[in-house]
Amino acid sequence: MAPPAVDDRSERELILRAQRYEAEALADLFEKNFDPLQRYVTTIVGVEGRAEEVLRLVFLKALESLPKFRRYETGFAPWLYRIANSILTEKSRAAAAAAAEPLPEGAGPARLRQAIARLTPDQHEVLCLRFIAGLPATTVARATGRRTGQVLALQHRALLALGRSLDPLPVEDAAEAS
Amino acid sequence: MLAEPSPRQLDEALARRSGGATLVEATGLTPAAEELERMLGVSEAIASLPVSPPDPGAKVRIRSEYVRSGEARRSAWVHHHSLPIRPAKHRIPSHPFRWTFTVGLALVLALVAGTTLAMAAQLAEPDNAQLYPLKLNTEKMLVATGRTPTGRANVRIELATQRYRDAEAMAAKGKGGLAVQAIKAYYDQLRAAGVELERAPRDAGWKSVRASYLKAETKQNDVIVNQLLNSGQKNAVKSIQAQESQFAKDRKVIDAKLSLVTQPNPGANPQPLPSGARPQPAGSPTP
Repeated sequence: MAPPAVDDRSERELILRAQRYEAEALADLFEKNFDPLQRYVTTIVGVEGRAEEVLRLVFLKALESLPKFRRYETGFAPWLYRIANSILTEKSRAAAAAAAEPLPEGAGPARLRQAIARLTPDQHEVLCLRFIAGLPATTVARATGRRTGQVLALQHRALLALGRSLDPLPVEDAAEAS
Repeated sequence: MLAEPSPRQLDEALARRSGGATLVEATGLTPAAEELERMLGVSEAIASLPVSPPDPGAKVRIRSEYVRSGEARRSAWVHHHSLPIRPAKHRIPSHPFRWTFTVGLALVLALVAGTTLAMAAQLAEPDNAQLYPLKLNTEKMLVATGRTPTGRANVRIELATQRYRDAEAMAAKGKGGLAVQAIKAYYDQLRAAGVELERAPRDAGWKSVRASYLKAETKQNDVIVNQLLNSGQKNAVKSIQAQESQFAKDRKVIDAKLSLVTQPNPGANPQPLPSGARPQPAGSPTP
């Protein structure tokens, strides 16, 4: 997934208009960001029905928080991804009881998704932004308000945790599934 | 237990791998190569997670709700930003000198306005019905502020001179009635000044004021009379001449008293003037 264009003056103006809730600007932002966000969310959750609910919540939450948006230099899409992550990890905490259970048997996307869902919110956020959204570490750092070193450390701990919880490695199975 | 790579090693390996290097090339010959390889494998598995096909219906539904919510927020935003008057979030802090400053400013403004009006009134002539009464009242206050009889006499002499000028101005304009009133006020002020001087102690200041008095009382009405005659106002001339002859009689008595050299008894009452003129209040012409 290609990283979104950042530091785009036209996007900044579009966001400023959307912050005044101008209908045309809101529609443009929706059209521009819906498909990438849908790919991002469906990649993480895997189930279309649940993805629709998450997407709906993401856009409504974005509308609510739009006046507070200030990270123009990192673009609008990473902000939407962060909202999605927040909703997804919140849902994961609601299903915390399931976390105590062992991962499903076998190797496949479902097992990997469940393992990702068990990461800490910070690890989950960094991992998804880095490897699903495909953002560079520096962009993730700016978008999340962290230092690049912190992002690298979180990425490191997340991959380490996933690697140890997934045994055997899901590489071949995931490749087959894709 | 596998050796763990550092976060920096992992990031470098990820960069090499995304640049097209093989797993072995990306991990290199480090003790943590095995763990690095495993972590790279996980990252690639995440990146290649299958994407569910998009549901067009979902997009339409979400867009519809999003647009509706956006319109509602737009209405709220417009309302919020178009209220003409909104209560302040924080009250203006009260300052101990706030009211003092306000009252002081009001007093200063009132003083400035009053002074401006009084100055304008001083330029008024008897035919100015609005400002001339204000001028006369101001003059009364001026007389009242005199502490000594000599001081009050001096003020009255000045006012008598002013009334004489008023009479000249009215005669020049052909306004006989106002000229007669001004002349009457001129003589009344002189009589009152004479009474004040009579009761005042005879000192150097008294002598100076008396000299002013003698100079003021010897003004001739010839110019005024001629101007009134030229404008055909014979009745006004007659009134002025009557006033003049009456004051000539009073003047003899006043001059006689002011020519006394001995100090007057402070407790003695001043003798009444032959014409019955009183020092207070002096008559003033009204427009």
